[in-house]
Amino acid sequence: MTDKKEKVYAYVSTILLIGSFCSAGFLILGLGMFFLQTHPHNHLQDLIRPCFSNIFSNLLRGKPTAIVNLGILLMVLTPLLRVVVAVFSFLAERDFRYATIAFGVMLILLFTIVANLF
Amino acid sequence: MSDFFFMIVGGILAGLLGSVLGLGGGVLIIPMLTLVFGVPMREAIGASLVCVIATSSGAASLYVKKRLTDIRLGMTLELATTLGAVVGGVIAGIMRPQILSILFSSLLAYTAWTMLRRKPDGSRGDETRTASNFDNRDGSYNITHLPLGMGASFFAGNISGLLGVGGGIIKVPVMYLLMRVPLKTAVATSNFMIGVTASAGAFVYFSRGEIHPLVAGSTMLGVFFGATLGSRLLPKIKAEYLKKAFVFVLLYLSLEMLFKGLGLHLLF
Repeated sequence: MTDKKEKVYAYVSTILLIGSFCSAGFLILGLGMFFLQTHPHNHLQDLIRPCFSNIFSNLLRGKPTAIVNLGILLMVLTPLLRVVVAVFSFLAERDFRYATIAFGVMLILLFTIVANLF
Repeated sequence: MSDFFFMIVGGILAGLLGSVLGLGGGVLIIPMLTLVFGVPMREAIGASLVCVIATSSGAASLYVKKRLTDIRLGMTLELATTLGAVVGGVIAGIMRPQILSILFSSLLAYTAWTMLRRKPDGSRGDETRTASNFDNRDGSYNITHLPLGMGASFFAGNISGLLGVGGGIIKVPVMYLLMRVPLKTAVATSNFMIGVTASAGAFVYFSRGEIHPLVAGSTMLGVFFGATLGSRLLPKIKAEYLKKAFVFVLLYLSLEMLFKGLGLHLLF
């Protein structure tokens, strides 16, 4: 039992680390491309706001801002992953009360994501 | 040089200072983005929420490893904080940016006050409730006032979604003083929750197109590395004098944000 729990803790922190480092990688790539492709004198006001909903079509076209968006999205999604892992770890421990609670948090997050991104 | 380069540098500084001083990143990032770079208030809040997640994921991975986090308590309170964050994010969308700026100013003043009150060793008074086992499964400490704690957590989530901060400044005292959770567990659990709360709020800002990829991306990249570096340095640094000095910085920023909200200008 304790071994299993240790594993869950290790999983959660590994996921958080992998998620955040991947996200940082995309940010470095996207921002790097942006700096190389555009003039060095970029200021905030000159930029057109890229729309978040067309991130995937822009990704296919290799747009730097879409890669940055992907990095941001990945980072914003790591907490959801954390909650999903919690649901399963509570289930594995047969702690149904907290599995239900974690599932509730997951539903709230999923609903917020779906309602706001699509 | 591009603005975004300086945002990365500013993010590194904010992340480093934030983790060394025990402040959430948002408290420093929003004044930096609005006062220095002229980013609109709501876009600064959106960027700050993303940064808060980056800080939380970095710090929480350390804390979870040390098993200080009470995941069960965290999940229970998150039911309230996530809902609060969504409501806060929606309210921010209909509020005038000037009002947000003034509210943020009072949050800064409150942060300065709590920093001033904090004991030099980082605790807030007597630490009699040190639990030997931080996972509450076997009931090593008793959580009290859960319904009230849920209400306060909803409010903490609200502040997070409304002003783009982690809300730890509310959650930690609620858990420690009201719910009688050991301080270290309260801090770790709050950190664990902050990411989930901020994530819920961030999506509301996404939907309004208020997360500018370059502003949020540059700042977050800086904050991520700053906070990671800071949490490694933290055990080696004695930051007492820095903390005292920083009370004045926070008060100054609070005034700046207040004046910005009122449409006036200070000297700088």
